[in-house]
Amino acid sequence: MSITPLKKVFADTTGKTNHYDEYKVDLSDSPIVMNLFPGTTGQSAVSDVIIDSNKKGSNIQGSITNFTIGTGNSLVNKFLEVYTIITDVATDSNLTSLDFSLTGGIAPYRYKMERTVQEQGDSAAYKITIFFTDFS
Amino acid sequence: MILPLTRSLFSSLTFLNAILMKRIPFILAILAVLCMDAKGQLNVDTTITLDVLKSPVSPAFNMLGISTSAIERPSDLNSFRLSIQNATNNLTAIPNSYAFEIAPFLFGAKKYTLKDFDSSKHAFLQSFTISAGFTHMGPEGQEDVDSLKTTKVAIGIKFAIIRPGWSENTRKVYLELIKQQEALLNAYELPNMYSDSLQILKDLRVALARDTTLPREEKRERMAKMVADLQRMHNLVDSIQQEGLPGTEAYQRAKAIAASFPTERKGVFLDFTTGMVADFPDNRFDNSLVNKAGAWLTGGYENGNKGITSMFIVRYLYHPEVIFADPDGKISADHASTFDAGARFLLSTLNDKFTLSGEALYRSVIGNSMLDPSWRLVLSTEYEVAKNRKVTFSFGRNFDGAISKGGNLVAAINFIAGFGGERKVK
Repeated sequence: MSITPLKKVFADTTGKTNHYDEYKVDLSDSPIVMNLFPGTTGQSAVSDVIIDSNKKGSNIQGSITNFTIGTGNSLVNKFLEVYTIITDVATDSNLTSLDFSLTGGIAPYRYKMERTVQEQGDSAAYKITIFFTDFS
Repeated sequence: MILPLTRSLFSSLTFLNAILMKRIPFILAILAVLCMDAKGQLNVDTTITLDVLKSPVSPAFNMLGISTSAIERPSDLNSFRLSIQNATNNLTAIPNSYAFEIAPFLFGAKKYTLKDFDSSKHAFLQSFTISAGFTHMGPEGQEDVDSLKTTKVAIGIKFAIIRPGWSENTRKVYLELIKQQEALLNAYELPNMYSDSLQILKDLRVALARDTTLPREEKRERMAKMVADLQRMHNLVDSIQQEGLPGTEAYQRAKAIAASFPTERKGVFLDFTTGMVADFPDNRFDNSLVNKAGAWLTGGYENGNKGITSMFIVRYLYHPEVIFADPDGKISADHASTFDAGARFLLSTLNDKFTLSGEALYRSVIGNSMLDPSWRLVLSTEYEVAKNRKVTFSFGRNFDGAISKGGNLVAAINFIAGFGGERKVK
């Protein structure tokens, strides 16, 4: 496998594709729900959802809506990792984006990222990592 | 010496004659097919004319007369806001004309990915577009004369009621793309490289949270620093993870598929388009009249370019530019309402060698006794006998009731019949 220099590969691409943050939950049985909307309209996406190295969802096509990843109690001090590959199929734009949100914790959480790929058909790899902490 | 030569020549000529006698009907028939098609096609106009009824791409602008290049097409709310700001010079002036086309249901946070286009489920929301515009100018040639300026406002909507799913071929290509994306996802995750680091980070973070010796403020600062450090570390790890992706076979295959993704559909479809133009003759909003209006209903069966494809269009127009039922211009288009309908079908089979197509058009002026409704019908068939060689036949009835037929098949049949005997084929 040949390695293309990073500088060359992303010479004309713009935007952030990874994010790390913490999310406060209380130690209760209230469900923590995740939504993930890959964009922009017409792009093709595949995602994996991982909690502490265990796959909670594998090769999910398109958007992920109202996906319960666990309860506050079960998720505290654990990592959520969401990996998404978005391929630029839409012909009117080379923009890819990811709209991620969580509810069920102390407050709703939302984070958006986007990247413009170099050429029609290129893919962008996105990664979101969330560490669940208890509200204490 | 001469005799054998003459005999040989005679036998050669006899042989040639026998061949020619055998082949002449066939050669002549081919010549008839190749040469006489021009004569045969004199009568029937097989041009597909259903297109004259088709719904406009942007109904509001077509009726308002705004060129499509001047239309703003913002893809989200922010760009829509910017477009209005630009057109109005930061909301300080009213432009002479402004037009936009938006898909409001695609503005929201919920984006439709590629797979959401493979069904009728989201067809209405995905296809719903609003086109609107206004002009504030004088008549043609005197556009900038203030005293002659009047305001016209147009609005149009367009949406799909029923949209067919993808064809088998498109679904196959989509699944191949997903397969490559899954391979790419596996390559990106590199789970073994990362899970150990995560455990160390988790232990550090938990230990910090449980530390009761640190003052609250310092603890908060350390946690914030740890988050910042982790974000930096993530950027670094992500860079390494991303680096090799474009060089993989899966990336290149996905790219090749996505760059030429075919969107063929198969099944029943039904689309609706409508639009109207309101006139404000004295530039007062309490005095307006409907200047033009139209509605189109288009339906049929789409078959991914294979087999039977059919389509129908029903159209209502108020004050049309041209009355389709009145090509000679006998009646005024002012306040006229017209109802037109048309249908077309296409059957393509035997590896596209045989095609049968038909088209019917109906046109009328509502509430007018001067012009009777009229209709037109054309049937046409083609068979490819060899490369670039086709036998065609067409039959039609025109709006005036005249029946006509044409195509090189008619010419060929007539010719062969005349050559072979006394029987006449019409």
